[in-house]
Amino acid sequence: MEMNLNSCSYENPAQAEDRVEEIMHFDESLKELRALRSQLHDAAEYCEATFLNSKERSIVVENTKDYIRKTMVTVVDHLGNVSAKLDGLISQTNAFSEAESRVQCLKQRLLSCEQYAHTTGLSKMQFCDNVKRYHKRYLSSPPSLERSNKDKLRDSENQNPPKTEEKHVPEALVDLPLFMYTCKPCPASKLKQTTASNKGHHNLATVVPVQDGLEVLTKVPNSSFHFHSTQKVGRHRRSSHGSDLLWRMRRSRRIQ
Amino acid sequence: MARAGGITNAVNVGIAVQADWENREFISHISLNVRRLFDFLVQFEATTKSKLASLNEKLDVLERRLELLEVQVANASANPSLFAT
Repeated sequence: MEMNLNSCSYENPAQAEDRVEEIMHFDESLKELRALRSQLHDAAEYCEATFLNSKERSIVVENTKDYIRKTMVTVVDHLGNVSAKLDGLISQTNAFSEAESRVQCLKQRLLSCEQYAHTTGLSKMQFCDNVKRYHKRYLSSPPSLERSNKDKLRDSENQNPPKTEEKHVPEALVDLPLFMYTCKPCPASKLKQTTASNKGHHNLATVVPVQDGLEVLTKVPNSSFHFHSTQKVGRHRRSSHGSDLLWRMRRSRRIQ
Repeated sequence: MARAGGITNAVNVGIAVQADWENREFISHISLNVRRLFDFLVQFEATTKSKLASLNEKLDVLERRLELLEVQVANASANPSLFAT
């Protein structure tokens, strides 16, 4: 049995010497066990010859019995020694666990190197987030686009008279890019009048712009919307609220 | 005299039979112990084979891991630009 003694280089010198001595004892006992086979064969032949040739066979038989007893004890001793040493060499091997731990260490190192490489690669490929961003309220609307929106609104009004203006404004803004959609111009119809404007004072300084998220608030009755609607559909349908306002305005003129 | 000779013959035969039985008993003991030794050797062979098989499996796993690590290290060393900051 040849063992690689270089594998014990990472142990202490005393442990390595003990290990070498154990391996040497195991080799010696194994050689003795192999030599015992030929000795037993020779002893059996000698006993047989002595038994056949001697006159006092009982003495030869007794000697043979004693030899067999001693031989059995010796063989069992050798076998036990060899088997115990072999079992110890096989089961009490920490080299595999140490090698496994070393392999795990190498694996961890390689994994850390891969992670480092991935982080460096990602830092190179990452989007540069240093671009300046402005709030949409501070972005100026381009005049050309505003004009085109108005033209589109006029065209749409000429072709199909709208029943309500809320349906046309989003259609005109669909073609805008995303950043322009965020800074879209607020038409006059989307300006929610305050209480002062409802009373007839059309002051633009008091007008509050209505953004996309605040379109729900436009459900408040708007006088301009109702006047506009009465001009187009007013012949057939007039809302009761618009007629009241007209009646009040006529009444105020008569009083004046 | 004939009676005495017959008795001595019977005694000799009895002694020989007893010695024969003792020899048979010794041989049976020896054969039994040899069988026990054989059983022990067979069992020891089986256990040793299983332990060696487990060790061989561990060695195979370690060899595969080492091969994998070698390939990974070779790939990492083949692309040094990844580590260049």
